[in-house]
Amino acid sequence: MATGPTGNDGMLRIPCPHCGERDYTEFRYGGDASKIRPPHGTADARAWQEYVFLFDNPKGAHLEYWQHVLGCRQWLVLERDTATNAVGKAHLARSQGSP
Amino acid sequence: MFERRSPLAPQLAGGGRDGADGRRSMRIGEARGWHLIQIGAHRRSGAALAAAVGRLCGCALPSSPRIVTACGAHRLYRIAADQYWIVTHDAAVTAALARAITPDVGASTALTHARVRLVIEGAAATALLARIVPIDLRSAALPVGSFAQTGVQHACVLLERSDAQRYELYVLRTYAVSTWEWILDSAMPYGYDVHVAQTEQ
Amino acid sequence: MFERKPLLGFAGDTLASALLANGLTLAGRSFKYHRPRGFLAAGVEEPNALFTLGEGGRTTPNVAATTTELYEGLVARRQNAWPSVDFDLGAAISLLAPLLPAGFYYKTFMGPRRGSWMWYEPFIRRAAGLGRARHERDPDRYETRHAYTDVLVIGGGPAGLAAARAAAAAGAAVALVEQDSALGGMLLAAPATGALEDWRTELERAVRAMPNVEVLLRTTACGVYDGNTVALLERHDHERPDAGLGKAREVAVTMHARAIIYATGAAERPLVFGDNDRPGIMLASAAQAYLNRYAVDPGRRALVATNNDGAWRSAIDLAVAGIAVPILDQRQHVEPALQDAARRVGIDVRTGALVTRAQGRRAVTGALVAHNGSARVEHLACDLLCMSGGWSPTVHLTSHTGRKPVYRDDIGAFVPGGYAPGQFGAGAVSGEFALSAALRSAAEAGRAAAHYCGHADPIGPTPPPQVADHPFTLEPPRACPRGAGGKAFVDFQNDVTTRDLALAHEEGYAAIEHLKRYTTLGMGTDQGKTSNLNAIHLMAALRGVGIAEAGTTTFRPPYTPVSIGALAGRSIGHHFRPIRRSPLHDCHIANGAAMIDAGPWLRPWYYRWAGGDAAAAYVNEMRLVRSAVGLADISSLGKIDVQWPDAAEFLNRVYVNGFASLPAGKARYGVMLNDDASVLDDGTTARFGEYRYFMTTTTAQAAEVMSWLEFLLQTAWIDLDVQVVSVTDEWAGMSIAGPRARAALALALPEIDAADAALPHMGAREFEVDGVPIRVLRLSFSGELAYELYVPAGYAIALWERLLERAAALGIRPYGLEALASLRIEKGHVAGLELDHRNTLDDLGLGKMAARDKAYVGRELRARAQLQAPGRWSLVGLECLEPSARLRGGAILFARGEALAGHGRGYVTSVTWSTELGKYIALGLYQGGLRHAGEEIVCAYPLKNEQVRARIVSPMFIDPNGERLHV
Repeated sequence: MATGPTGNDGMLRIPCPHCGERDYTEFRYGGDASKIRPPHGTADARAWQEYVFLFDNPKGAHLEYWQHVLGCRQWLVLERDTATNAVGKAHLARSQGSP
Repeated sequence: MFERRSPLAPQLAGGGRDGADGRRSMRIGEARGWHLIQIGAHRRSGAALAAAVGRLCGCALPSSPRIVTACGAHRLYRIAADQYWIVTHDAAVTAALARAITPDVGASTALTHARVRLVIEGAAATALLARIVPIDLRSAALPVGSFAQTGVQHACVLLERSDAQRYELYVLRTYAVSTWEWILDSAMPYGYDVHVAQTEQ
Repeated sequence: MFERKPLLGFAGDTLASALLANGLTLAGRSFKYHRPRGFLAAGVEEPNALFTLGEGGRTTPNVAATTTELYEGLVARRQNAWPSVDFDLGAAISLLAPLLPAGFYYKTFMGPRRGSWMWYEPFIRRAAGLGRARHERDPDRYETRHAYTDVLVIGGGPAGLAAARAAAAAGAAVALVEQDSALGGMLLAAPATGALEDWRTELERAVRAMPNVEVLLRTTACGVYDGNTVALLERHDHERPDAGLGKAREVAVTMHARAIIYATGAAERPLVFGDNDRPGIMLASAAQAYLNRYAVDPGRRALVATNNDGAWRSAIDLAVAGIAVPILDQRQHVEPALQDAARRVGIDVRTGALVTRAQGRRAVTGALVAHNGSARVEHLACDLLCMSGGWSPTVHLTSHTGRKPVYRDDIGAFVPGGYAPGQFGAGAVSGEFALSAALRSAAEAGRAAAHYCGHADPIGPTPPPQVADHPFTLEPPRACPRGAGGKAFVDFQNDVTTRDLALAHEEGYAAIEHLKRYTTLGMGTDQGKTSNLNAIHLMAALRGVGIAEAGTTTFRPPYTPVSIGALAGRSIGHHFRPIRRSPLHDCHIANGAAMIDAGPWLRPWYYRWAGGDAAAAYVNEMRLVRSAVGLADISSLGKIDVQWPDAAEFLNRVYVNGFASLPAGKARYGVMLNDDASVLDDGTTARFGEYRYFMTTTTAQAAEVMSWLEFLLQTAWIDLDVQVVSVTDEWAGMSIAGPRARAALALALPEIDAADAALPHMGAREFEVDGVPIRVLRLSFSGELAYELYVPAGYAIALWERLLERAAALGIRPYGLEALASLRIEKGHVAGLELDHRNTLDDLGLGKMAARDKAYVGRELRARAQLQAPGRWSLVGLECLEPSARLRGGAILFARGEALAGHGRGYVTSVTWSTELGKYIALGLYQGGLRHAGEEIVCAYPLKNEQVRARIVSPMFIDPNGERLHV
């Protein structure tokens, strides 16, 4: 924890739909947002196995979850290019389908 | 009676210090005598919540996630899409809100004890803040009357700019001493006085 | 002070210029061969003149004298002079040179005889060398800060000034950073009077007068990161900052810019010829800078050797200053106007002339010169040899975001291979070496950058200087002829020669990235600023390929060295990380608690009333709780307010056991799983109203659980109407535990009805005492009758003191974390050491808790055959069988008689001395778990070479039927 929000490691800038553009150090990463969680109670273990363990590793456009933990605490879906690290748009995860 | 304690009681007795140029170009202190209640609407209760707040606080719920709504003894902050903070000097208002906000209206959570309100004021306040928060403090980005939720040393804070050279920080109570020491260390070159205000608005 | 001899200099001098002015031309000895070295450059590219600055804890090794601004009281020492630079024993190494070929390090590390490095190391380390780091604490202050701007202009030369002016005129906020102590860049090396200097002064004045331009001198852009974030390093050494007054020596600035303009200029390259490293041989631009900017005569008899037009300017300035200058240009054809200008100031112009070897040892005394079309080798005497192998645009920063530079034949150098969005090039960095072209590109970059930020006010052009301005031409550097003799250095700092390059090529390390690692070329503190391109040229020639095919190395931050102190900033000492204090903290200190770190928290470890050290105190505290009543601070538990109509359904989903039926006024212990069925956390949730719940989590997982609940509610279960709010900081928590707990509560808080009927086991009630809400949960971690009390944090100390004071007659005392943790081991409760995100519910013996009639997170994957395998490591209790020995956490478990090797069959997670059983007991994980109950096993602790016998027993060491909970 030698560096942090005031350290010299500021890199990604993430456009929080609620708070505006912020340093990535205010966020926590939450994984692949293109995966759809099986509905609660889904009894098919294979569906859960697929959801929990199997990930694509795309080069290029990627959707991922980030939570603005030091801000509004909202989970976002962020577009990020895994090849260039370029950040695109973000929308609140709970407003699914309406970015 | 139970005595209420500030976590900064020993720190506030510590006094100020001169800056590198022999002056004290800031006041850093704690503001007391306020109450904080967090309220939220669920998907179907937005209008009911707005009505309750309108009735008890005399103002509308803020729509902007950046601008503080100041209304009499109350300040309202929209901290997430459908969650708000109400900070007030009037304990009766928080009690009334807690009663009025029944589950069909929304939810309320008392957070008065969860936060410590720090005030940093003076010519070097902005320079000091640039050392402790990763926030754009230029007046176009953080105008007077606006706020930002951000972090100091990994702990969340709500930062409000209440005047051009005056900032207020709501810090987590359990981090308050650590944050206080961090702020004072950063303020060393500028010099500061330490003060407590019972009824800061 | 320089080496304890006082040295005089002028304000504005660098250490290098002051040393030269004092006649000290010897800067040190080289890294590997211990050859005498002088000053090659006048800026950041300097490979030779590295000094150790400061003394004691302030010691900073490996600082380039050419960038060290002179200030009163500066202390500098040469390094790598063993025992002194004037009489250098290490120089004998040059005779041993064949022992130290390229790849020496590589071969000794990687070769078949790995041991050889051990033998060589002390010898190499002592002789080869850079400065040494010190162990003392650095007394200086370092800071970090954030800054924001529209347009960041990197470099304050003519292009940077022009770009800043254009961007600011268009309305953008501009930050202009310059690593030097003055603005002007290459113009600072121009004659100190004249039209060019007048124009520079005027441009600087105009830029500084603009209200929306911030100029940061002595500030280096060290690295460019995503989102146009730039790491800057601000230096304040010249102010002699006093840490006691809070003045920082260096400030690491995280600059968030919307647009970046690179105006980083270009650096001159050396020529590669025999013994090109002799003191007195320097870059032509450096000689010009020492002469014009610092008023130092770098020599009296100069030679200027070049392959391009740039060095002619330097030659003319030297000649005008009265220094005799023959100019030796390897090109047969040079622009006649340039030749005329040189001849007019008395320069002896020779074209088609190539320096093949320098002469002299401790200082250059002359040069051997070959002429085109002639076998004749001429000897020319000199005490200063200026060289120019062309100019390399300073592309480093432009490629930090992953864009490879591209080669341009016409200038014989790499230029940026494009720019990231919002980034622009201005001037020499983009290959525009002629001043007028550089200014045009700078104005365009300024305009474009401002436009990128949404500013497009009309701007006027920057007036160009009224000076002659030639287009730049160059001929590719020519390899010096074989047999010329001497070592021809490519990388001066790491002592890499043309022979090393040839060897690398022969041995198959011809790719540039391989060459670098094999020879260490470019890996010094200068990062090969003068050597990379020459090496690429030479390797391309050896391979017979073009430069583009030969490729280039990758540039990474930092551009110039950054002190660790600046990166750490104020995050040192007790500011290293934030510390979380309980609302009861001041009270613990006043009551003689010894505190201990527990994650971010500072918690009471034990109290002095119970003993002088932890080992003595915790057992007394345990006895107190088992026999009477104790009070513990549990404020660090995570607390979450859960509300709304779907709260019951929500809790029922996240806990493995049922919560749908939990009535108001009751609490229930619950376990949460991760999706992969490992245990996430355990805790208690109480229901205080129809739609109001109060959840507690473990201290360690509080943040994790909060984020996880929010994740589920915001991404997956958006149809559930539930609100979760962290109230960890709102409520202080304390546990009152022991057979006299109820009596203590009755004495201290008669307002609270703690009778069994009103508050049965697992009961949860809200009370109000003196207008203060108090939540009481009857539940136990220790196994004794116990109550958890939660109170708004501001009243915590008042409540704590009231409990201790009013129940004093019952013997109540506070107990700390060590006793808290030990009591739960006796009771067999799992905690953080067992909940490590690898163990499943079944591993921890909690499988029966899981509901069969409802879904919960992790249910499906819990059923996986591997997780249900009978051989999994699962929870057991361990009793020590040796009265004189102890068990240790982390000990590896083996079956009796089994060889003590490998990973064993499990390990000990938690250990304590049991006051009730009079022996050491432990919790652990063991292959097959309690199916081995009763067996004797071995607990091995290799670090202390201990093997202790223990028996596998039930983890519930005391009161297995829970009778004490109901007293």
